[in-house]
Amino acid sequence: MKAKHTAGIVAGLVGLIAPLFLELPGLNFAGQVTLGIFLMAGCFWVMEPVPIYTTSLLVIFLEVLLLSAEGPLVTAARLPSAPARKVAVADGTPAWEVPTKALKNDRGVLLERPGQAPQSIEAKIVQRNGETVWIQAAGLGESSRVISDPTHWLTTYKPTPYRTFFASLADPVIILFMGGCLLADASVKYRLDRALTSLFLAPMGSAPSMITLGLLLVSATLSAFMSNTATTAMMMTLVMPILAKLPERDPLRIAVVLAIPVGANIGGIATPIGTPPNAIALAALTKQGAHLPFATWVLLALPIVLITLLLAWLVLIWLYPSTSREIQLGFQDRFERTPKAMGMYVVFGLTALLWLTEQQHGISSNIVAFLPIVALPIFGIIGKKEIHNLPWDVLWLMAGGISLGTALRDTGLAEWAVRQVEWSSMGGYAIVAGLALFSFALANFLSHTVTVTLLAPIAVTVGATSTEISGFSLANAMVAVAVASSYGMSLPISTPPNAIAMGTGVLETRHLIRAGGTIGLIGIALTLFMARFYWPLFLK
Amino acid sequence: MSQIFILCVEDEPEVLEAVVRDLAPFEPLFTIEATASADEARRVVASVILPAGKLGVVVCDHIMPGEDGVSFLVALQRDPRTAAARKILLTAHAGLEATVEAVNHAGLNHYVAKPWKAEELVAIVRHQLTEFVAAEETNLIPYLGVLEADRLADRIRQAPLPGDE
Amino acid sequence: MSIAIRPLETIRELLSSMPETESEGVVFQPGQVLLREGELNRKVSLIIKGEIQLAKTAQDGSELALGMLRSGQFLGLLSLSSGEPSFFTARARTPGTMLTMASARFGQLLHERHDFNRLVAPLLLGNLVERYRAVVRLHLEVAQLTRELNVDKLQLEQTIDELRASRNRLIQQEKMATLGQLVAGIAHEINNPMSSLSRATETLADHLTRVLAEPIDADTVSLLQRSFQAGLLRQSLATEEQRQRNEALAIQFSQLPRRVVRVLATLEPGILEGLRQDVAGQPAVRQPSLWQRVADFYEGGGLIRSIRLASQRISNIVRSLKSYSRHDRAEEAEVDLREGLRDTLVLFGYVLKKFNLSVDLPDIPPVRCRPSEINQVWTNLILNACEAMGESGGTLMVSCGMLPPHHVWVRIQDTGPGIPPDIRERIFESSFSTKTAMASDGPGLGLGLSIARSLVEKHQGRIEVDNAPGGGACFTVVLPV
Repeated sequence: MKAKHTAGIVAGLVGLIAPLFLELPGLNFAGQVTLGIFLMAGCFWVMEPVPIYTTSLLVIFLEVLLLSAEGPLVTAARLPSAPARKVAVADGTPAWEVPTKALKNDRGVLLERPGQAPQSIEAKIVQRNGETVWIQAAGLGESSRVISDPTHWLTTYKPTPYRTFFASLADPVIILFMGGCLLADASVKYRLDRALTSLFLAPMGSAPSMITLGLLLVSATLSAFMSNTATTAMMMTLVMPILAKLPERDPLRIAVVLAIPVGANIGGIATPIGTPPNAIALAALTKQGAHLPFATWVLLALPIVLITLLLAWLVLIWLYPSTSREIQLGFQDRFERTPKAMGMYVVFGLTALLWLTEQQHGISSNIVAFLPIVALPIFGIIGKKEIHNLPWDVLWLMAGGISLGTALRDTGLAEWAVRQVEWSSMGGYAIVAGLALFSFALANFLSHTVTVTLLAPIAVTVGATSTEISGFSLANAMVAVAVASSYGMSLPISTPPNAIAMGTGVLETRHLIRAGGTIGLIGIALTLFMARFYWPLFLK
Repeated sequence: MSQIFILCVEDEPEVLEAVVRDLAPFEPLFTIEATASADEARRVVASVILPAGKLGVVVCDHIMPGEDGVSFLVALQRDPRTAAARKILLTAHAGLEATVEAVNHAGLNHYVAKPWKAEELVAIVRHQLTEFVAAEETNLIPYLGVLEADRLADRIRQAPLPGDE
Repeated sequence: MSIAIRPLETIRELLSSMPETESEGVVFQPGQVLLREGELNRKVSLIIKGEIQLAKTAQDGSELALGMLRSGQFLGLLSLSSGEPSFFTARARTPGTMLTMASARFGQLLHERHDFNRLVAPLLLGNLVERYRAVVRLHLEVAQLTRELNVDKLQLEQTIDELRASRNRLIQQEKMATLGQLVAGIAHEINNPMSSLSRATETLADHLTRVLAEPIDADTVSLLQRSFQAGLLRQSLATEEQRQRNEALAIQFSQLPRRVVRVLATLEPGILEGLRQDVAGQPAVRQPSLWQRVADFYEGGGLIRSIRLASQRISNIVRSLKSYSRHDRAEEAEVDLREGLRDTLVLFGYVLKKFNLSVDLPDIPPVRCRPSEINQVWTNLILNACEAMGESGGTLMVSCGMLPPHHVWVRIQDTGPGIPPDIRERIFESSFSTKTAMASDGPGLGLGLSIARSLVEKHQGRIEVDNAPGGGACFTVVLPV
């Protein structure tokens, strides 16, 4: 344990500093710093020497420290500038005297603009005077100053205000996610999850295969608005009585215990709030100006979710057919009718409605998210306890990813990275498919959220500079990456719902690998299919 | 998930065997340690149980050669490392004084008179283990199959597992 | 017709005026002895004035006042009539006078002189009548006193009966208390083997159901039989050793469930090795389930052994109980005292568990006694010793020996606080108890030791108490053979 930790920390620190020592032509200092931060974050997130959310905050902190306009590094490094002195020239045209080193490529100078990035203007050399040079350039005026070191890193990097990095913590998508969490907590508090379970399972009857289907559907439905992990935990408490009624050797036990994490993982794909990767994808898209409405996401995701659920069910009952004839479940939870529960239903329904009709009324889903955040506490439907129980570690994790994306864009690292690869040689779809497959592979070993956090910037960079690549749509790529990550569910370490299922002691690892792996492969296959044929219909 | 121990203390070998047999359903999720005296139990707590995990439940006789059961339970209560353990007295006779001492100073959780019925003892130990786990453990899911599921489910619902998905 | 008596003064005058009487007037002072008991008396006197106390010496030398003589009464009449020495001692109580004459003269005059006779005889008669009356009165008084005495005697007898009954009740209570302790002790003693017995029986039922559900292959029959036999003959291991074996085997048998490993750990290493060789001869895939069956059969044998041991223990206790309480109270028998001692120790094993026990009982000749009473004595002394040692543990030493020529002794010694010398004798008093109200079974009745002593004394023995040299009390009971 200790060794792994130390290795992770060492790797992260190496990654942080390494870019400063490497020859990275075309990448300015700010970009190098950002690359270092990115590499460090990658090492820390993957090897987890420190908790994941700590790494996210570390990212924000380093960005503020090293990259922000108010940070010590930027304020210490000032752009050197020199005044342009007017001189008279033989032909009467105005000429200006500037230091020779202010010349950029002998062809231009940079005009200092307070509060803005320097402007590059053409200059004609009139006379060289050793240390100084006389030039003629349009745009120079009496009080102009030119940058005397055109290669200074601050010329190509406009320092992001630290406010922007701080703001990642309250990014609208974070708020969106928080609203979803509060809705989910309220649902659990008023036993909506139990009521839904009873509702779904009642018509399923007593046939084992139908029970498996019912559990899949309930888990998927719940996890569409609750966290996958919480859904799995809740559902596990409900299925324990079922397990108690089953004989010890009945494969149905395995099917039942598997149905829950599988259903939860798949169901989380359905809505932007279903699982953090979705929210991160949305945030990244919004930053690039490609805002994806709530309803659109649902429209894109629902078909793949339903088909995967159906196929998952078939896989489960084929792999683990039950030896029992019928099982009496006896779930009898009712929907609560107390005033507060009714209030919760109203808020829930209204929020969902507003989310889904975003395009019709034009109010962003992030703003709608304030409805549950405000209404639920005001009417006493939830209280301090639920606020305290919000998954701040997840929200911070997302914030870290969002701020990383900001830095990647602002420092030009994204652009530079993309330029290193001949993307145009690949087809647009190939890039999307590659990203999706990479996401799926990583997500089997890493936290899904971390996977998407690491891949989103890459997708974004590709999208930012290669809109000319035919067949490539940034939105398509982001959705594919997010969806694919949710299908990484073959190992206990892939995702917490899997760990919970293993913890019941009913499953052996091989059961999970077989079922999770199979369903995951089906899922990624469907993702690639959707990315090729279905999603482009809606996404450009 | 910590390794949780069930400690049995009883000087008559036949009775000790019977107790361990009755509690076998709780293995392997919990580990059962059998000792024949308060002294030995003390040693086992220090050298086997505490280094590896936590002491969850103690099932202890009262009349034994050497230190008696109630004194041992009082000592367990005083030690902060074992104070959270649930304590059960399984005895043919403990006088009123000893029982009062056990309730007031040892935090006795249950008194079982010999001879006992297996189902009773198992139910009592199950209940005490459930209370222990609910209070001391964060991840309750693995215990749902063996301990009192309703109680654990309630607890899980109140503080759902954090997760990043 | 009543006989008239002349007034005394007249008689005196007349008597004085008869010289033949040769009477003298005697004046006496208080305290003056006029007649001494046992002395010859030749005089008779007529008291004119004053009072004279008559007394007689009792057997123990004290004087018994027997009456008073007053004026008009004769002194010395008995001597006069019988000639015997004086019956009484006559001592004057007040000053007075009397007329004295010689008894012979008095008699003669009475015979011969008619006028004397006429004068004196009625007086005499009156005296005699008076004395007779007094006697009759006395009789009446005596009769009355006797009646009263009888009533008192009756009452006294009743009271004695009640007291006796009361004491018997207290003895019974004490016995009941001891019995209560005995019953509690037995309950404890029996509870443990009972628990073991009932649990083993229940488990065996489940066990057999499980074991018989699966058929036994022919080639494993002898292996399983051996396992079963090993279980029947199993020895208990100390838990420390068991734990070590458990750990060692857990590594070797890591593929088996913990429950099975624990069972196998109780097998003797030699037997385990033998079984292992047999199991190794079977195909590898069957081995885990075969080990389970071996463990099952071995455990089955072990359960039956547990049942045997527990029943044996219970029957031992019952036997001791019968032996302890046999014989009617009144029945005497020749018994070896050691049996009773051992029985008591067995029956109260539960109480003794806290203490070390040192038993040294060499051969002693049998003693004629009532065994149940003697057993009560042992019970009392042993329980007292345990009580004295209290919570802190200690050692109880029981020993016996011969005290030639005709006695045997039994000693019961504890390592408690001992007995302060000033109360050493008092502890045998009834209602003396050092057990305060704080003791778990209430304040002592204080009768235990007093009853013990009286029981021992009933057997012509004695019970002594001392403080042992190393601290603690030491009770020695000596009984004649």
